[in-house]
Amino acid sequence: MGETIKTEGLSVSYGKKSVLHNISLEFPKNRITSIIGPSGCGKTTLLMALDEMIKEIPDARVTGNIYIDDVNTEALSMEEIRRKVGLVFQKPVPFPFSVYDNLAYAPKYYGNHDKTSLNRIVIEKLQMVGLYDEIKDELKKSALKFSGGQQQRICIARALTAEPEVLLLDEPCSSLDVKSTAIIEETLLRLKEKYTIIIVTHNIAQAKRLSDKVVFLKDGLKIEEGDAKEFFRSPKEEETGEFLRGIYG
Amino acid sequence: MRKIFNNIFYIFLCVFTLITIISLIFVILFITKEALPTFKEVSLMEFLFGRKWMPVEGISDNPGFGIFNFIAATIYVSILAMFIAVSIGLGAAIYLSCIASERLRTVMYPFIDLLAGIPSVVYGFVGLNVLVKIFLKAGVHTGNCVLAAAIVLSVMLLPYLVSSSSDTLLKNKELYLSAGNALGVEKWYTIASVILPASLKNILTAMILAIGRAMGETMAVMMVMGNANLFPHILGKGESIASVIALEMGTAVSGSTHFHALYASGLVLVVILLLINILIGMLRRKLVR
Repeated sequence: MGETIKTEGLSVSYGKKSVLHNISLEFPKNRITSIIGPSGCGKTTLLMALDEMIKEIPDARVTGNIYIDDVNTEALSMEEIRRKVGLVFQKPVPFPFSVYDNLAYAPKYYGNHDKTSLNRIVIEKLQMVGLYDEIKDELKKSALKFSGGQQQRICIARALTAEPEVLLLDEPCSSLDVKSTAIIEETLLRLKEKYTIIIVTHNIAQAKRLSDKVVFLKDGLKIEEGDAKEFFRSPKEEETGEFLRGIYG
Repeated sequence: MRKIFNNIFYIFLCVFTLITIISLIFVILFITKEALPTFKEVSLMEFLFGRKWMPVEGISDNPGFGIFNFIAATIYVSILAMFIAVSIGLGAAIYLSCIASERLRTVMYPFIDLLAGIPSVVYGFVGLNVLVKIFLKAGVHTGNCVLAAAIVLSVMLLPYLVSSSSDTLLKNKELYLSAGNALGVEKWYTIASVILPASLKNILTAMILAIGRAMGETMAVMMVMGNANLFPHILGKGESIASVIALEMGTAVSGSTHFHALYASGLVLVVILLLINILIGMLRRKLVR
């Protein structure tokens, strides 16, 4: 069992403010890794650093190395990195087009204009997120007209259309109700067979339900990482235990 | 006590809303009433499509009340100005919303809004002293021409287009740019394929505002367009409906056909504007769907 993506001595600062210090992590292939920690600990920053979205922020400075399949990302173009690593945001942001056009968007950009192939991709990705049977008659309907949970699944499917190996999710359920959350979690558990999934969550119960591996960050430092079962049963660090018991958060 | 207060507040709001609507209806009714006597003298067709404008009785034996050239000039100069203003304005709006830094934006916005605060007579003055002179040197007879008017007008329209377009573009950029980025799509492609189309509805609304302004603008256009009853050519003179009314209303004998014909011209202007608004509104609804 190798890892798809790993970081080595990763540090990030915004201007003078240092957000992540010297983070070295490995994210195992075909597993779900949760990143948890109190708000402001740098969870989202870590996620953004993994697909270099952080470089869109003008005063962000990144040092250290990130490897995807043992290739240093410095050797890859931005486009290659973003294709290998998909990202789903906290709030679902489908483009204001039909479901079909949302899913065909990235393949078309990457030069696929073959209709049958596009149709196949759209259907396949919707099936992957368990949405196809639900909305197969409404593919031409604007994606904005679906419920929040459905929109988020459309966004996950859209991220998959770029054929990534790694899927990053930044608190994907924080704006959704319990039922939609359950459906998304089910979807993720199914998707880990094909993808390496890294999820940022502030919901400890969700991390418990989903993860194979957990990373605990605090104040930009990696406090603890480990196998999920072990991590939740007997955390090694005192701070982790306090966080899990809800003493701070 | 609270209920009474609520009721009073409600009634106040209703009355104020009613006043707005009634004043619009009143203006339209008044113009129509004053316009109608024109058509005892000339037929509607003759009025709309005639090219002879000899409104003062007694000077010529055979007065004419055709405003076709004025209508054509109004539409011509407005569309030309819109074309210039939309091209420049949209470019500026995209720059301000998607490229300029936050700081530059906060510096630039007030300048653009300031453009809207300059009185139109000042625009006309500048147009007359700068643009018209340039056109004169370039060989245009007297320098007054439709193109000069359109350029002056387009500068006046810019703030309306730029500020509201860039607001929407900025909102949509914040929403969609990172989603495009996350898919590895280039910034310009996302702007052209997602952010612009998503903003189109509001850009069209801004265009409705601007074209209303363009058609009704009197002073600046009057000062540089030459005011001759000719069919408009890009480097020729022309006279817009608003100019005719402004130039002649003061000297028209109250109650004469001339006087009524000017009202009728005003009515035509209102109707054209309404038609354009409806047209853009329909386009907007179609695009949004």
